Amino acid sequence: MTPSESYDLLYAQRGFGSVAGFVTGANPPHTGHEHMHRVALELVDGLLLLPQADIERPEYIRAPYRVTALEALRDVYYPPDRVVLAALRLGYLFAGPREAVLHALIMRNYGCTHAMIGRDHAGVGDLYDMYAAQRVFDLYLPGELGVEVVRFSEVFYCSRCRATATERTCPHDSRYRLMISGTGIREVLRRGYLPPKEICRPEVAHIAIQGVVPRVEGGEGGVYPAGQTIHSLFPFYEVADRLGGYLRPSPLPPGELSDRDLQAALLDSKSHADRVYADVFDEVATAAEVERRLAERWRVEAREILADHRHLLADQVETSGAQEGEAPLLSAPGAEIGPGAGPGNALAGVREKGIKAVDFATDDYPAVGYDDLVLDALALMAESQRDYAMVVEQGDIVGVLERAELVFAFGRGELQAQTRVSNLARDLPWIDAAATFEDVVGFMAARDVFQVCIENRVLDDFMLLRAIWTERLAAAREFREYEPPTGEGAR
Amino acid sequence: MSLEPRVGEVCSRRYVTVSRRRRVVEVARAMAGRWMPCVVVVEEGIPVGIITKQTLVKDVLARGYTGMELTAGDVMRAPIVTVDAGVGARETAALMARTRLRYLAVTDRGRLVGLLSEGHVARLLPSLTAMDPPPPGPRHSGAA
Repeated sequence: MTPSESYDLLYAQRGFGSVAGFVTGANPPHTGHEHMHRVALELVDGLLLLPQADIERPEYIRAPYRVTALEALRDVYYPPDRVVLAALRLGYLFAGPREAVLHALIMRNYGCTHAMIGRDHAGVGDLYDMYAAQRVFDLYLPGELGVEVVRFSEVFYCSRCRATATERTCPHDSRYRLMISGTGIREVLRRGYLPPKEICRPEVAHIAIQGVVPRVEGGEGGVYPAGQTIHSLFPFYEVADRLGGYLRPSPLPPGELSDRDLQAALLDSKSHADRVYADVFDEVATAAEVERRLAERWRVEAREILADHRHLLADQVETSGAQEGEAPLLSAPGAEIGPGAGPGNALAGVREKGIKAVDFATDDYPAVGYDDLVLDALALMAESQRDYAMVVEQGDIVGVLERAELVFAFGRGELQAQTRVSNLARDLPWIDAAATFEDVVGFMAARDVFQVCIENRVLDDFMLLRAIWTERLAAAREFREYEPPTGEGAR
Repeated sequence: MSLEPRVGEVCSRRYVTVSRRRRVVEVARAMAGRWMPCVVVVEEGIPVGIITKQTLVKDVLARGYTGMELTAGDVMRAPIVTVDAGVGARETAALMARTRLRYLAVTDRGRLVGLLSEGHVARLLPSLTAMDPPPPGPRHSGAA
């Protein structure tokens, strides 16, 4: 394509108002290029890609394959009507930063309003620093070259951000990075591997790998040593035990890394580059999501098992740390268990401490008379936050009225506004003052009652449970908060 | 139009759930420590059982267990009895009377949305009984 043809295509046919140009060299297109192209497409109407087609050295990707790979990138990943590709009959001049100025002028002549210059554009080995080809444009006045130069920092892939980024946009350190080096990508292709998808699109790599010239002499299959390739693409491997992993005690010298290390770094990158962020999301989702239906059930199950074991271990520590002479309220795990009294019995603790049931009975309860209306008794229960009221005659407890029985009676059609306590109360079982907690438990279970009377005082099932089980509340915080409905109180 | 409240309007929308693998001792501690009369046992988000304070007394303590050796799945009452959120209070009270259950799981299109206790229904009794017609009085002969 000639410049006049380019002008016609970009402005007359496509109707662009602004166009960004990008000159590529011997390397296959990669996601670093793509990052710059996408930024440019946000700023301008069109993108003109100008691959240098006259570059041929044994270690480069052959030109037809480079151009085809660039076409594949355009066709699969870019908006089709906004990107134009025109191969340049131009090779490397090895002129350093001045070659970058030449490229900018070429882009201008081809109709570009903007020229994209990345890191080490038209670089010559290590002869110039990475951004010399950008600083050269500081020598010119604004507008002097007739094209606006857009400078880009070095682009890499950050596995923690899960995106391509630069030093200007990413806060994470190098252990999370896959560097995007054209030379490194060539070396990976030459060894017969596809680079990680995060730095080179698979469609591009599939074409480019056909265009590498394999090394035919001895060695590991690459032009450059494996350590150099690792250093250019996977520097995390030198400093950390894995991508995003913990730092090594000391960095690995690139000169001592072999092809096996390159394979390991490749495998790590391919397996985990998108797992880092995904795992972070899983952790947060596990903690934050209320609805667990989408969670991996086996993972949820494993966490529950872990929580169970944690409490078992905590109990062992608590038990072993008990003061001498104090019996724990609950026996240690692993003790004899089973029906009946014994060291494994939950009531053993209270028994061993000599606590009697009567010690937990209370004389604070709502009291009603047989002639009272049940609805009045209900109001009294609500006021005292109990689900029962004691029927008292001449100072003695003679019966109990349970709230649930009122509901059952209403369900049977036996409760009206004028129903009296005498219709629905039942006798309250008495138990001896010397009764133990075991006696009370057995009594309640056998008679299916929830309150007992001891010496004109009341012990209900909640009091019983709290007496036995509330010494250790560590497990309670594992549960979500429970709020009783308004008006019902704490019970 | 009936003015009778629906179950979904009066039930508690906040309730505690546990997996069936959770040890009873932990369930008991939480219930006793926080005055929770019951917890719902769920499996993969579906209510499968219920543990009440009565369960702890009769099925754990009375049988001599510590709670360490039992899981929620071992002691829960299953299957859990559910009531649709759109059911009226009277019908629900009748259900409770027939089954003598004090706690029901409230569902809405099959999904657990709340927990209903006898306490919730009991709070409605004054208004519900006020809606009822008075009981029939003594008959008059009608003869002159």
